Formats: sequence, structure tokens, C-alpha cells
Amino acid sequence: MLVTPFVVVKKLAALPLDAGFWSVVSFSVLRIGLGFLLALLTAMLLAAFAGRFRLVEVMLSPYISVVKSTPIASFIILCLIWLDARSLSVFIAFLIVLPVVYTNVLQGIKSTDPKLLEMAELFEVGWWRRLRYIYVPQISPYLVSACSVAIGMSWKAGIAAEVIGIPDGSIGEKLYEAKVYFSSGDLFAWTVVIVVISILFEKLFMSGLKTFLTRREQH
Amino acid sequence: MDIEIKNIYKSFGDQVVLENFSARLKEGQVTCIMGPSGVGKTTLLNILMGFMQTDSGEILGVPAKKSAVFQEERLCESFSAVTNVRLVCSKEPCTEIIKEHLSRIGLKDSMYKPVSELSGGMRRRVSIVRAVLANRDIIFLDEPFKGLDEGTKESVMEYVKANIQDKTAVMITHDPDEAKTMCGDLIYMGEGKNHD
Repeated sequence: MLVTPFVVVKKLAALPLDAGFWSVVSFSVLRIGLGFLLALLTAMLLAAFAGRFRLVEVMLSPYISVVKSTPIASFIILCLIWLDARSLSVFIAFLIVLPVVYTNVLQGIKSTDPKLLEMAELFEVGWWRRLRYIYVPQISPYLVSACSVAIGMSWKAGIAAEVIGIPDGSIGEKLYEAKVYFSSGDLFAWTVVIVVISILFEKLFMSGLKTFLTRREQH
Repeated sequence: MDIEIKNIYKSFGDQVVLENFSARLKEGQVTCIMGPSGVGKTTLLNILMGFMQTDSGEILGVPAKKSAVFQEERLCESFSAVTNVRLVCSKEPCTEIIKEHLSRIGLKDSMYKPVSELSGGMRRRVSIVRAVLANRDIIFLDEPFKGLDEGTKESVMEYVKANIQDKTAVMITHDPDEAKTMCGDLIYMGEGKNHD
């Protein structure tokens, strides 16, 4: 049942030579990446509103708690009723990333130095400048740490959604097939592919994010 | 228009900080507020700046457009001195003007460093230039020269004096020499009973 590491390495080396490999990888990368980015933008927007209006925070609080504590498998099965299997991983990645980023960014907003905000109030600093010079530097560490955690989570949840939804031409489908045919070699090889893509995605995104935030802090 | 402070009262729980305090701050003059620590000078300034409400009494004639040097610098730490000054300028003055002002008070070589890397005295000077170039109708100065060495203090005082001429300003200080150099009017706040 269990293959040797040598067989896994052989399978792994053969995978990129397969004609369908890159389209399978891009299918999952695009969807999980899209879900992550949509969640990132939505979470930042919601956190900004919640930071500004206490009522929004109170109203969102039960939804965020429910999303945080509900098993992801329940969401996946529930969403399969309404969603096409091909777009399921987008939504599930979105769902898993949203509360992590929202909670962290809101925490960052709340910990903004009130004395700096008083200064901005007194000097009548406009909202755009407040955002750029006061809030963004304050939120940056919270955002970086949230993204670092959420990227890995989005990959785990996104692939789980694909394994249950089995959309054609996805990494999840390949894992499912490996399970059906008891092919532990394929299972390990695809798992390594997922881990590598997830790490690459994290490294690329985090270095881009850090560069963006550092540039904003120059001058 | 003068600023009229009429019988204001302010307490924090059981502690009464300002009791029946009245004063007139003349337009176009620097008014100094002196007195021992904890007597309510900064509280009074916070009330005038609009950060605190009085429990009773009234204040008339405070201009809407305000500027300040706070007791703590309140700078955006990761940004340069130039950016910190530009942040509060409603109509962005030319960067050259900001640079010229920063050079005049000895920050020529440090104006593009993040302010978090500057010394306490340098940060103080950045907050002074910021308050001056904001160009508002009234300027509040809460111990503006605190932490400056004697030589620097003198030149910075000259800089402030030259740039707030004919403006209404309220300055808190513990130093009689500063008050003598800077102020047209003096309010002394003593413990228990604050008076003009």
C-alpha cells in the first residue's frame, strides 16, 4: 500500500512532463488565489467599516464567530448544493480567509494611537492621508501576520473543497483519484506539489505585500 | 477676536482640576500659561483644542483652524520629517519651503530619515515646524522647547517667535525666561485657585 520515497520522487519528476499537469495546477492556483484575494479585499473593507462604525462591528460579530467555528467540511457540502463544483474552491478559500484577515485588521485599527488621531483631527488631516500615514503603518504588522496564516489555510480549505466537489481538471480531483485507485505514490506526489505551490504562493505574495508596505513608508 | 474663558469647571472623578477659572486670551498675542505641575495647564489646553469638554462654564472665540505642538511629539514614526510636516498642510506648500524651514532649525541632514531614528530634540523641532507651517489661526504650544539643549533652544525660540508674529498663540511653560522671550501676556495657575 505504502510506496517508497524513491517511487514518490519518480512520480513527482514525471508529473511536470504530463501534458495536463500545468492546466491542473493553474486551475487550482487561479481559483484558490482568487478566493484569497477577494477575501483579503472584502475583509479589509469590512474591518474599515467596523473600525469606523461600532454598529457594523456588532452586526458582523455573530457571522464572523459562526464562520470561524463551523467545520469547513460542513460549508463545503452545504455550498455544493448551490454552487458549481468548479467555483466551490473560490468560495471556500474566501470563507476561510475572511475572518482571519478581518479580525486582525480590525485589531490593528483599534490599536491605532489615539493621540495620533487627535493630532489628525486638530490639523484637519483628510481621510486619504490619515489612511496612508496613520492607519496603514499601524495595520501593516497585523495584515502581514494575518496573510501569512491565511494563505496556508486557504490552500488547505481550497483543496479540501476540490476533493469533495471533484471539479474536472483540479488538484483535488487528482487526490480523489489517488484515493479511489489506492495510489499512494500519486497521493504523496500531489501532496508535495500542493505544499510547494502553497509555499511559493506565500513567499511571492508576502514579499510583494512587504515591498508594497515598505515603499509606502518611505519619504 | 479675543478668546474668552468664563468660569470653567473641570474635574476627573473626585479630583477638581479647574475650578471657576476665567481668563482672556488676546488675539494676535502669545499668552503664556505658567504654574506648578498637575495644576491643570494641559487640561486647559486640551479643552481649548477641543479634545475635552468642560463640566460647566463657557469658552468663546476659539478659532476653528488650530495648530499645536503637543507635549509628546505625535509624529508618524516611520515617515520622514518632510512627510510629517507635509501631512498637516492643507494646501501642500512646496517641499522646498518645508526643507528650508527644517534646515533653519538644524535638521538639514536628517529631514529624510524616518523620525523614529531622530533624537528627542530633533523630533521636537519637527513638531514645531509642523505646527508653524500648518498656518492656522491659533497655535497651541505645550512646553514646546522641552528637551532642547540651551544653544538649540535659543535658535528655535527665535524661529518660533519670528513665525508666529501677529498670531494668537497659547503657550505652556515652566521656564520664566521662555515666558519673557516669547509671551505678551501671562496667566499664572496656582494650586486650588486658578486666576488670570
